[in-house]
Amino acid sequence: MIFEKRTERIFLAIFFLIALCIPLFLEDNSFFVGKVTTILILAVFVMSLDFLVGRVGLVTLGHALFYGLGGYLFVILTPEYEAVNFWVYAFYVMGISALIALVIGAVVLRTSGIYFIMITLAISQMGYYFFFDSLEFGGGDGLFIFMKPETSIFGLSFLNLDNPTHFYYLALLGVLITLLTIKIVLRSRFGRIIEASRLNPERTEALGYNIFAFRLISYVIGSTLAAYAGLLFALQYGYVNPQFMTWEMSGTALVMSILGGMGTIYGAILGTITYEGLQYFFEHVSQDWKLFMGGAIILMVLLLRKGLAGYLEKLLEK
Amino acid sequence: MNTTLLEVKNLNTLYGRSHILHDLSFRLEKGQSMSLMGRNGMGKTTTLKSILGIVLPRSGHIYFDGEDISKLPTWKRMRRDIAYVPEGRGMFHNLTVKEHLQMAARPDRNGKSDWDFDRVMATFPRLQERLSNLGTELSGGEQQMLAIGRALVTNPRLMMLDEATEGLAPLIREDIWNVIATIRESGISTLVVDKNIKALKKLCDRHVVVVKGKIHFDGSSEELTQNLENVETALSV
Repeated sequence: MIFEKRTERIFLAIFFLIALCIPLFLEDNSFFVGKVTTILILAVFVMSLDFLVGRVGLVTLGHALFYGLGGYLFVILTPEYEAVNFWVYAFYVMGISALIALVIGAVVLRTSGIYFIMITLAISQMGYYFFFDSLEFGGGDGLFIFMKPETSIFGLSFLNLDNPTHFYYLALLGVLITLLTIKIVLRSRFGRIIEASRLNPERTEALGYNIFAFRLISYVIGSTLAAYAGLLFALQYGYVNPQFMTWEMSGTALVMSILGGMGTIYGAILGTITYEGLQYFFEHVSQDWKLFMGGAIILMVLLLRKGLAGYLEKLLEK
Repeated sequence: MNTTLLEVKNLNTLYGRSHILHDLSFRLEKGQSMSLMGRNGMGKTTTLKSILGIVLPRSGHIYFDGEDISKLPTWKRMRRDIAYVPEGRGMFHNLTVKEHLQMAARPDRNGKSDWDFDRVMATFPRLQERLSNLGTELSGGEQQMLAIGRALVTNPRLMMLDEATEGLAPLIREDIWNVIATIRESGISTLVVDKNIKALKKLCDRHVVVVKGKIHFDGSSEELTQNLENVETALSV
């Protein structure tokens, strides 16, 4: 079974049931549909980070580089005033992102621990300043998407991306695909080796496994999924700018992952919803919302050592 | 035809400024079983780790089936069909018994899989009942069986066991010694680190005693019997 824990199955069943129904109740309120769509896209990004940090053991502060690249690559690759096919160009964006991740991973994975954190942070900042300083990529304003892509497959089109509800379902599909991809990888023999190398790299190497190669493949998988999330975000708002790839973006995703329960993957969805929900609530309560937000996060981290998923498991797995 | 499976030649290993192994040399022939004995801190584990490449020797060479593997990374050495059962068993706490065996299993360099999941289950029937338990939920004896099983499914030509029976109950120890004898009979060369001279003398063809990182004794079981007093003195605290 892909989803091993009872809590995980219950949470995901409830989540997808509610998520499928949300547009039916909020169809007239495109703001909320848009807001939830953003949360779903962020959940894809946070799950990809949770996989790397919680399951592979790669604590990166440069993950947002790929989030930004996803958006930039789409705008760079597509003609300005032509509705390209979403699936074809998503494939191109993810393919190129995977190649870039392969090159970057081959360098950064030669370090570990604090040095890995520093080098990923540095590379991400290099990306940020590269796009910020280059006029051809719009500098600090970034690039705009003038035409949303079409989504036909063999001439049949079910989704119109100009329609917020349709876009919502595309983001939800992204959550499902990301979740299944990560879970299938983790349940495979490859996933077991990854798990073992996180727990004891020396021991895993002594079983005859080149853990560098396994980590590199994992890094490519996580980064490619992050690029997909960035592509969706850019399409939703119609632009991409260097803010997508700041280290704050990576840091916020890391907080969401920790809040949800690091390494649980489904906890990343829970963490994203909670973080975004809290932020929305505090923004409407006080101008000093960041202060309250910080306090709430500190409290939750102190009280829920294994995150929200850990707390749910404690309640439901008895 | 080369009859030597493992040759350690003039190995010098240091931890920082501490010189642990001093020009250590020995040979293990194909199909042979060898014991490596010594008091705590004499360099037994360091010898195994140097052979594996977990610790990098300052100088010296390690030949496996005639090939110099001294410069290879650990995983490449293991892919020459070497298996290692570490001191403390080295369980992965998130993996079940079944997952431990599944993730480790692979054929040897010639594509042969004499030791597969079923054969390990037949050798260790106790593990069969604990397949869905986490490795860390097993007793010490069961953990050692799993560690040996995990090494066997890599289909090695050489198996190195560090502190093979340490911390185990006498009856379980007996089981482990019998299993090591079975492994040896199946044609796998073994290099066993332990302190039980009696059991090792019965099980192994050759014996090496290390004192302060140097070879103190290297000989057959017969020679060990002749020098028993000398060896026991070297092993006593």
